Amino acid sequence: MADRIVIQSFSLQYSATTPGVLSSVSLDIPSGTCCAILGPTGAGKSSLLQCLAGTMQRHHPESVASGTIQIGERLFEALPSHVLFPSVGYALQDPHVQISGVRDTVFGEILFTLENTGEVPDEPAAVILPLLRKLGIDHLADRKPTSLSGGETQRVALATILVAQPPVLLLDEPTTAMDLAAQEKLRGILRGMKQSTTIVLTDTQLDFALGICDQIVVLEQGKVLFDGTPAAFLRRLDEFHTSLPLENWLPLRQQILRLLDQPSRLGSRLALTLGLK
Amino acid sequence: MSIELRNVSFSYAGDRPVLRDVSFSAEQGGFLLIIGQNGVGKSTLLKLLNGILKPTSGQVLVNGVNTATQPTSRLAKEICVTFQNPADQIFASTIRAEVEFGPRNLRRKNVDQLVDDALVLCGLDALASHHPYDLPSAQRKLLTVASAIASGAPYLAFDEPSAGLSQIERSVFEGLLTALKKEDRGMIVVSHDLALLLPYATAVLILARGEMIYYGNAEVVTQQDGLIRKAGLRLPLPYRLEKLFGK
Repeated sequence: MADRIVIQSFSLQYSATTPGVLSSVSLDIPSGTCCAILGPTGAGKSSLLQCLAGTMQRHHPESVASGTIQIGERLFEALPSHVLFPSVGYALQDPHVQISGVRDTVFGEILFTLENTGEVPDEPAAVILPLLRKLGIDHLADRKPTSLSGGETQRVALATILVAQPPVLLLDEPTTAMDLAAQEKLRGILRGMKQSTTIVLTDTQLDFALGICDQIVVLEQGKVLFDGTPAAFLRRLDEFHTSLPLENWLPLRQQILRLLDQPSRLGSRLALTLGLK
Repeated sequence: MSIELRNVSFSYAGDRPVLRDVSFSAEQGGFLLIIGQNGVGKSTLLKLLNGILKPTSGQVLVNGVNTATQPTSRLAKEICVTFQNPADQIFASTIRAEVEFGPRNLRRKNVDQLVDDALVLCGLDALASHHPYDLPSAQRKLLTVASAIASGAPYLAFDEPSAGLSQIERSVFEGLLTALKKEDRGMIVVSHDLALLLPYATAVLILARGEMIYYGNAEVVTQQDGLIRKAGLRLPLPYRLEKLFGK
């Protein structure tokens, strides 16, 4: 069952003497939905995910936080004190760090996750191979996980998290090295997982989030600038051109709004493409 | 003066060929954009340009000199290649030292000037004394680009230089591309980021299943859906919407 995530007045500093990384962040991410946290470098996106994953104190042992984080039934005053895996799956920004390399094959690397969760199915191949197929990397099953290209590595790293089917899934810029066809595949997988998983992903741009996310949050310098639906975001697109690369989107804005407001076959197609329904 | 590939094929030891019969030439002042699916051999192709890898058959010619006969250190004077993962190349303990390594070892005359200019161009001048690993990953990408620029090499090859860059670094990156064009450097760039880079490309090379399925002008890429589909790729969402509105 997917967990609802409620963050209330959450603030974070890496240490008592350093500037704030997150400043009074409040978010409500309903169970079984997908929230995209967008913003420039240094906005606090990865830090927020690390707080939700329970890994912040590993990275910054002296970090100071206030506010609350609630994940499902569990309420944390400030930071969770332990890593929340496997109930929270966290795909790191750098896929090369994610891959342990303790096994000789991609298949083995993914099986290693299941072994760590203590829930190895009788026929692991029946779980792992379909996932690899959906990600378009089944041909890599026998390859050495450290011998892959950048985009392949990113997909294998994701598979090591997705295979555990965590009720909460955190993805830190999951598509940076992926070609656009691979991104489409991942979109399809995430759409299929949404019922049983609450997904929070970060990105520096808009394109991947549209079509899967139900909620867009724009974070800048640790503060929430926007929190709303993709349709509401598209209506206010021009406000965020300094935070996000929107130069290809802004010229389309008027046409997008017209189609959203006036029912038409093209409008419905557009709404579907952008995940506005 | 050019970088030229003549019927280049390449396989990693004992494995099936990664690249087959690839030919192209890149000139100074030009911008060749190389696109293709993940794992198709794009990064391998870049490593052939400066002699890190040598072709299994065919020839790579850097200003007419066959890379098979030259040490990488000599080729580095002419072409500098950045890796996709900055962690694979960053080694110095300050940003300045990292950028300085190339031009100093290549015995360029004006090392300080080359380093200063590259740092300014990449928006890293105020951070010169910091440790590279204090930088967020997006700026670490720009650091590898700064090192390449400071090398003074007339040809620069970047592997996914804009991956993970946010709006802040993308603006910096666009600025430096314009500056490099003015300097008449030759650019060879592997990327999935068509939205950012296609406007700069003077030529596009598309790889599919290890073969070159297209090499020619850049406009064709957005106009011919079939070509992109044949390569197993998709156009960026705004491009597709534009087409939808055009109908």
